[in-house]
Amino acid sequence: MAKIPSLRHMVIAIFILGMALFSPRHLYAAFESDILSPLQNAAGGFPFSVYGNSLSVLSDPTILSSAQPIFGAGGISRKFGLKNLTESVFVIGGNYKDYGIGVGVSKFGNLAYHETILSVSGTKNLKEILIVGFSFQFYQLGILNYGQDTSIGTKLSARYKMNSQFEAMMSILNANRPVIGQSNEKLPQVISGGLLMKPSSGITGQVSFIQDTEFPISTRFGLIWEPVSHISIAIGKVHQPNIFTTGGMITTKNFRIEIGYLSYANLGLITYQTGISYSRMP
Amino acid sequence: MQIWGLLLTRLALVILVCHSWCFSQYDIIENFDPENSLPESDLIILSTAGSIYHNLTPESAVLLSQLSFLTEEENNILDQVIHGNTIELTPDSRLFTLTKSLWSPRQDIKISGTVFHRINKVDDVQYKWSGEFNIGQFTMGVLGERDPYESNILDYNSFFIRTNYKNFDYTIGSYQMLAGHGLVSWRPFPVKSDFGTTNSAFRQGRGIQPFRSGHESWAYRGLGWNQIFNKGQFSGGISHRKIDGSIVDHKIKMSDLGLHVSDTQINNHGNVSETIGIGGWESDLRNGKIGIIIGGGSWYDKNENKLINLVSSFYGNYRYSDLSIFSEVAFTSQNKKAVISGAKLKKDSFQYGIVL
Repeated sequence: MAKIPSLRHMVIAIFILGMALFSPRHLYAAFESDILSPLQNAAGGFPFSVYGNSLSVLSDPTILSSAQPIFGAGGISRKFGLKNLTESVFVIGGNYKDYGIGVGVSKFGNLAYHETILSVSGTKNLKEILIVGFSFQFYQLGILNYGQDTSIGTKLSARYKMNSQFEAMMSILNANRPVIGQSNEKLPQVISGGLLMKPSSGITGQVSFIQDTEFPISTRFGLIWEPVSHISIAIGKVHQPNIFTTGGMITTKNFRIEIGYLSYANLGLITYQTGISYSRMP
Repeated sequence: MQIWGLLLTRLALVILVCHSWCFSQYDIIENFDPENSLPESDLIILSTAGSIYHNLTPESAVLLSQLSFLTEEENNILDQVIHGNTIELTPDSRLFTLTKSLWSPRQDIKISGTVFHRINKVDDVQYKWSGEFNIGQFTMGVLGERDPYESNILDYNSFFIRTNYKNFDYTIGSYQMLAGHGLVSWRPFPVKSDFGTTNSAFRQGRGIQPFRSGHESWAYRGLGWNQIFNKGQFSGGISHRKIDGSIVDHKIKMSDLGLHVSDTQINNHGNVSETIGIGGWESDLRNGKIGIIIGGGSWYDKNENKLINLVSSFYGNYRYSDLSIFSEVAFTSQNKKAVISGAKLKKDSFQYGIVL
């Protein structure tokens, strides 16, 4: 028989989830949590993938066109160290000539409440200048004793390589207006965009924004610095909600250990996100 | 006899010129042992090579070298390719014919276009995406827009494909019919005469045009086409779309604000279903143009109020030296009439216009 979490533990988890993860002025609904890797969160929660960080494929598939022919990556994290807020991510993919394809699964929650997203992505590299990505997002929401429902969303992403130092990116999530549940709850529609800057080989900077159409725009900036080979450190700032971020990544051959450390300034709460991944990306 | 002799000579010349194209496939097969059928493995190799490779490379040469019917000389050539040497195949060789038949030159579809992503920060943020692409003889345009505080990410979107075929010019998707001097069909459909109409009155409509703007109530949606004849041009369109507004007292109260934030605006969003058919003919005269427009439309709202209207208009313009005069008269099936007339005098940098 499956073990049901204690009521007290559940209440604490839901309280922290509602208060700390999201802005206190709004009530969030299902699938509102951005699926970002710890490194993305450490560098200001930027919504785009960077080369070498395979887990970021789920948030931005355009990196598929830069991956090796076949790769796989997985990660697990516990927000606020709570088992009930466990998020696991697994992605496999590859590319052939100018095309890339990837399949990813993200799972969040516990036995009583869980959100699962299956993402199937395809990309096309146009003349090494523009990479266009498209994903089908299969959403599944399950609540113990209430049942479950599924829905299908879409994601359109584009990455424009201005030159060797600047890349501009844009994505639109769920333009097809998916809904879920008996009450036809609207799934989040999110616009994101930004710039990636690589002034030198060891430094990556980002300025980005994310806007769920139901909420105010969230602007973000951050920096990833690789002071020595195989070790990267990151810092960043998220505006709305007000979060300072830091963290890093250690690379050993094909393994990557990532940690993201998020300080919610207005709430006075701190959390961290950890992840480990394995991929064949060089 | 002379005719037959010439015919045979021409036939021989044609065979001489075309023999390498006509008989090249047979050239490969004639070296087979006629007692043995082509092994299935060879067919698979040829099929695989044609599918996964695009030219003769060391990788594809490895695969081709496994063909059973190759001669030793041909295997030697492939070995050189496998070892990275650049080989120029002689045009009449079997390998040249084989590679040519496997990998005919690829014709990449050329796509050119532009994409805009505009972000306008006011109280909230307004987003607009637009793009236009040329793919061969097709022009394709897309547009998406989300106004501040609107909950739908693509609250307004439009799409068109335009192409030319002989004398036809087709537009599928969002288009405008710019007809006459604007009384019947320019921006909105209803017959009216106001400053918006007079601004465009001096201009002559150019028929069906793809719609590229973010204005949410100015475009028809459906099929439009222009066709040029010897004595004039026909423009026609059919459209079905949903517009913001309501039908009150047999009149359409259309909202062209395009904002869907308040409850009233959301309730009025796409409240009226509009179906329109319209056609126009225009002929060139020696010093001007003359035209006729006939159209009909029906409008239904969610409260089951409905309106049906037929319109017709006649227009023309005449140019004499620096003076041009124009007029358009429109009638509707609801006994409404509208007239617009004017004159324009243009001399060097001086221009004066009157619209009545």
